[in-house]
Amino acid sequence: MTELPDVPDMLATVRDFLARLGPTLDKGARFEAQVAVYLLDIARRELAAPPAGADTTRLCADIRSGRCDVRWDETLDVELDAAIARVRIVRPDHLEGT
Amino acid sequence: MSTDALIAALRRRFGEDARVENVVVPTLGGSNRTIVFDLVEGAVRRRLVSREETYRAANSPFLSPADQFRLMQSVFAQGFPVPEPVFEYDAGDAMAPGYVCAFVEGETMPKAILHAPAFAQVRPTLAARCGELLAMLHAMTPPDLLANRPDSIDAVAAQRDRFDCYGGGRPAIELGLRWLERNRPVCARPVLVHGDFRVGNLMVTQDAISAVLDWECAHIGSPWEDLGWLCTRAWRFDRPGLAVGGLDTTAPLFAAYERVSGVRVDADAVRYWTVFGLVRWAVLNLMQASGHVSGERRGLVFAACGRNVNLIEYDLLMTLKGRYS
Repeated sequence: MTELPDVPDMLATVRDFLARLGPTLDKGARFEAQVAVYLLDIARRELAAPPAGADTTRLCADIRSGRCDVRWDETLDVELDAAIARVRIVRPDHLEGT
Repeated sequence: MSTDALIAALRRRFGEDARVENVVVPTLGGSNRTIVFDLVEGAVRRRLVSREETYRAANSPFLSPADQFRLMQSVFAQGFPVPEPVFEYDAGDAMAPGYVCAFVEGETMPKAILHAPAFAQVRPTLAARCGELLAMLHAMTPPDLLANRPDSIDAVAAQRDRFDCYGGGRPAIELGLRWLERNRPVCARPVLVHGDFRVGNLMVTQDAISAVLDWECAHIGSPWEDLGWLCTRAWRFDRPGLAVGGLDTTAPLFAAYERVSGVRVDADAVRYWTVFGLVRWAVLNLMQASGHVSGERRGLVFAACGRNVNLIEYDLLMTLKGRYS
């Protein structure tokens, strides 16, 4: 049994409330309300498509020590793909024009 | 907000008759509390700004308020447009570490400077003016207090140390740091670097740049670091095609710098420092997020900084791929 509203619904409800509330607030609080909506949008997108967590320790050590220098372009491509996936969660319109 | 401590601090220095009026507390500001007010002494009224450091991160990249104050005194005395430093808080004040300086009229909000009709006339002159100001700054004698800063000794290593301190473990930042280490240009002429010279820290009026603010990142380093930071993609706002803060191309910036300094701008080195700028901006955001996640200093904006790192990493990788300039 799924209890309703579910988590995405509750997040969307609070998000929409904050989006309506924001314009009625003074300048500083209005900005904070916008940031709150931004954070809830990230949370909603991440819940809908959870990213696969990866252990980056070895890769980071290899880049730092220079062991990745010989496959530099390949490493860049892999990391760019991963970065694009994360930007799709954080702010998809940041990818526009690419 | 109570201004009792501020009033007490002012009366210690300006006498018991000193009064404070027209207090404004701007809401924005990461680690500092800013209070703008009139100091009234008899018939004399001065608009002043109080700045206190309310939070200091582990491995903070920022100069202490005491050092900022001394640096501002030094550049003010050398004729650079900076708010006049008035006095420092000390142990006898019930204020956080900080200082009071003159208020300078103008606008700092990037959106207004880039788009508001009020700035239409000054806007086309700003890139060249930035070049003139940086040339002026880079000719000044840096105060000794900057010599031992990590950023003065090795700017890239300083970023790496901070990155590790805030958790590390991000391949994109590692790639950025590795690229910076392998492509480091020779710095023939270390100078006084402002370190945060960009739209947002420039006080702009309808006809000039009235002051350069936020000296907490100053150090000794390559002159091209300041030009590179000004041109870093994060500071172009909604106009990524205009490298100089979303205002203009690099041509008027470089021409003005060369005219005033007599030194030819090394465009490749400036590009190097724009890559450095992206790495540094990511590390600064990691620092803000780290204060939030650890619980030391929580807040919506600091939480957002953590996820904004993903956007900066994307810009960095696109730049390293040669798809962004």
